[in-house]
Amino acid sequence: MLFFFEQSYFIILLVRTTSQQINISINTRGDFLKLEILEHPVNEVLFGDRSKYSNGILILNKEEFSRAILSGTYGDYKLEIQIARPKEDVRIIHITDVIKPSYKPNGPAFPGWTGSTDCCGSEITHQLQNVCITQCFSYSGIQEGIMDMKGKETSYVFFSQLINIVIRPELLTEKIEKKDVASDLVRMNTQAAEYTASLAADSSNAAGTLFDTDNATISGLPNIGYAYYIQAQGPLRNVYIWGKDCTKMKPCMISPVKVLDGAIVSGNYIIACQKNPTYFHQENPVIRSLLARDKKELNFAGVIVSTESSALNDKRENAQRIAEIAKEKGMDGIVITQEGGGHADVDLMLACDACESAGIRVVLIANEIAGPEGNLPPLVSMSSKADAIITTGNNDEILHFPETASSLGGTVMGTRDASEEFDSPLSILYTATNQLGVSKMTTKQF
Amino acid sequence: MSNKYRVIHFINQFFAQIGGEEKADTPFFVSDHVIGPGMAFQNSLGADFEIVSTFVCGDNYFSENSEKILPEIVEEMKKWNPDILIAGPAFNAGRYGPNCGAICKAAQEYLGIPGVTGMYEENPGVEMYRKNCYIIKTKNSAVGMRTAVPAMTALIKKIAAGSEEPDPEKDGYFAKGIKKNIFVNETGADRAIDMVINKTAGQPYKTEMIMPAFEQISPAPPVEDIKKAKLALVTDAGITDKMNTERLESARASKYLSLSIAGMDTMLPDKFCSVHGGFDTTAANKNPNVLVPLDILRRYVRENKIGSLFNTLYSTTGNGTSLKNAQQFGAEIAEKLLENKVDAVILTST
Amino acid sequence: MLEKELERAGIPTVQICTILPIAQTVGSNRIVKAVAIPHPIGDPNLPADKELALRESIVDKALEALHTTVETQLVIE
Repeated sequence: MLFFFEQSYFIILLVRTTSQQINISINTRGDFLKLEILEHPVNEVLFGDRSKYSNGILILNKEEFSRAILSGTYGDYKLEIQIARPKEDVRIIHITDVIKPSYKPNGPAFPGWTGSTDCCGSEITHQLQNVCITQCFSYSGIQEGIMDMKGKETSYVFFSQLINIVIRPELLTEKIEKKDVASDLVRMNTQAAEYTASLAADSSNAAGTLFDTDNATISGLPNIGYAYYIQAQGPLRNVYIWGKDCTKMKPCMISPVKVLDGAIVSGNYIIACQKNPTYFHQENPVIRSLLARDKKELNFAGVIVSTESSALNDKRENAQRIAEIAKEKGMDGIVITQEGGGHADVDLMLACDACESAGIRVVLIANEIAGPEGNLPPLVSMSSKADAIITTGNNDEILHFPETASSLGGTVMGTRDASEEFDSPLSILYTATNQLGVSKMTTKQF
Repeated sequence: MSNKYRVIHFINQFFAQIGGEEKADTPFFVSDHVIGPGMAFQNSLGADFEIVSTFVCGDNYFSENSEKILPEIVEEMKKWNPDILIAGPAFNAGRYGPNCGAICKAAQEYLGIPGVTGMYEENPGVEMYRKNCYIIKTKNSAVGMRTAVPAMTALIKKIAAGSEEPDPEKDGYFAKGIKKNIFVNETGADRAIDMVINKTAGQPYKTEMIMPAFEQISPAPPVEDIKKAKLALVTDAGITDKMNTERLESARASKYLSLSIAGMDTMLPDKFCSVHGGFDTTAANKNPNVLVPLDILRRYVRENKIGSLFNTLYSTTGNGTSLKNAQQFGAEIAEKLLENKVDAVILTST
Repeated sequence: MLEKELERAGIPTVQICTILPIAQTVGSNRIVKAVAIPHPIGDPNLPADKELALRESIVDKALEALHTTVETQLVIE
């Protein structure tokens, strides 16, 4: 699994992107892109005098790390940094976002956030494996998200299996606009992610994966695409593409390889169980799986990205546009995912109807609000054409959370002590019923 | 001390060979013998199981006195220390079915033991009790005994063995309507791609999520004369007083608020705001009238376009609200409105 | 669900909401289309007089729905 890369191996592709806010549409599968992601394994994270990565051990100098995280923020923050390891008796609360450490020697790892020159989706990206940056922040309008590092609840949350570098900013500035706080939160995370991964840039013990896109298709295989709904509903509920606010974005194609390379970053803080954190955009399982199965069982026909508008007419238009693009690209089948629920269920159904009417076979991925016993209607919107749905679990199932020895990210949850035992619906468990299909959970009738 | 599973079998007057409809008022009694279909069950279950007693009750006696005798039956069951209860099977019998369901439900609730019975799909006992016990699907008359008994005993053995969770499709019982989260071998993403490949190829596929129909309610009759009507305002836009003194949640609301709008001609931004976590509340917090049009409605009262406005605004947060809570809030609010002789409601949602 | 419980109790109720398909699926009996999720009965992007006219038209539609006999479901866009 050792991979040596040499300077001469770089393929420098300057990919042209538009940097205007509204027209984010760039790049179809037609552009040739070659990206190599090198994953450096991390077995332990410690604090020390000098930040470095060596032999699987990541050492962080807290002061330098803090400076890197807070650089360029609008507000002033006090910053606490701690480590939570799998099986430790600790609960992490007030989770806003989780991001995978990622660094590109020749450009920003998160275009639009950590730099504006762009080699996204090409050349080399260094990432750290087995570790994640988890941000915790208390603020009005941000929904509560928790995870336990030990016990039964770990089976619901992917990040319980990783070493979490928990960064907890506390806002000191009194008069600050919501949109600036929203921007700061994302800036902090992307900077933390780049800093940590940059420490491994000279290391040679990485497992490399090559992502290579081209236009070739294999006849006889079905053309399968992916429609990727993201939220864009204003500050603290925005998902960003190339660092831009997507509220006015119309559905368009986006390169799957660029999605894996930091193009989509989350600033969306919603109901915890169905959150798509930045980490899951970077590691989008639908894209990963379609790439892995490309030219073997299917031809990966590309990714269409769209927002979940809060106006019905826009939803209808977006759904139509998705179907049109899918038809243009010759898709035979399409998988559609969303973030959220409620009115976002309507986007799923409208897109399903539009695509099926255009002759494209649709599969949806969604979670359920079927009540504590699972016997209530699972969604608030349905269509007779939605006959192929993958469920990622019921948000309303009641879980018992045991007492933990301590908590990170805060000490109080609502009115209770964060580490005490309590019963609650699954919905407060961060990403437990994530609708990108990360987990192996489903529901079953009894 | 035998290691056998102890089974109680419940039957009615007919299957106890006492008589037919004319004996439906047979009072409840207990026998330490195996009676009627119990023998078929005992044979089918084999040596690891023992029907230790048979509980008998006439269909009418049970139906008419169920509140009194269910506690009696429960106490009697405890004396026999059972592991499992078999009731019926009742096929399509309209009193026997619900009675079997009721005794199975009591066994689960008060003794913590599973109850297994059998009914035809049209038996009213199916909808009433499918959640509380295992109701094997049977034919519509005792002609089906020959297939009901093996199906019921197979399920009983599975439950007793405890290594595999019963499955409505595999084991042939009416789905309890209980759904649980379980883990399988593939991620949701992979399952989705498997499914789309099948669907595109015209191969069979099975959806993981089925949508049962929402209950339809008959609309209430309209307001006759709006000019005389007393209207009330309800919202799920998460409106609270400025300090949110009662701590209405931004999501998964556990309560609703009764906010006074007495003496107010408009929703003032320094009195009200929205804590709804599912949308950008900037516009609403500047002018809460865009969520609750109090300003227009007060003016309409002055202009005699409507009769009057009820002075309490009911508010909750419709963001990830459990359907059960929403139902409960609605029912409680309805009661209060009826008490206050409200004629109609304007409900604003985001 | 709130709308249905109120109607179940015999109180005619009109739901003003943006995402009609949800109210339709859940089974609300009287539905009037709102402007947008963040401002269902308003539009800060309009000049004040146009916004007032818009707001009044929505309230008027709501009152009309309350005054109408409904068989199963009434949707006013």
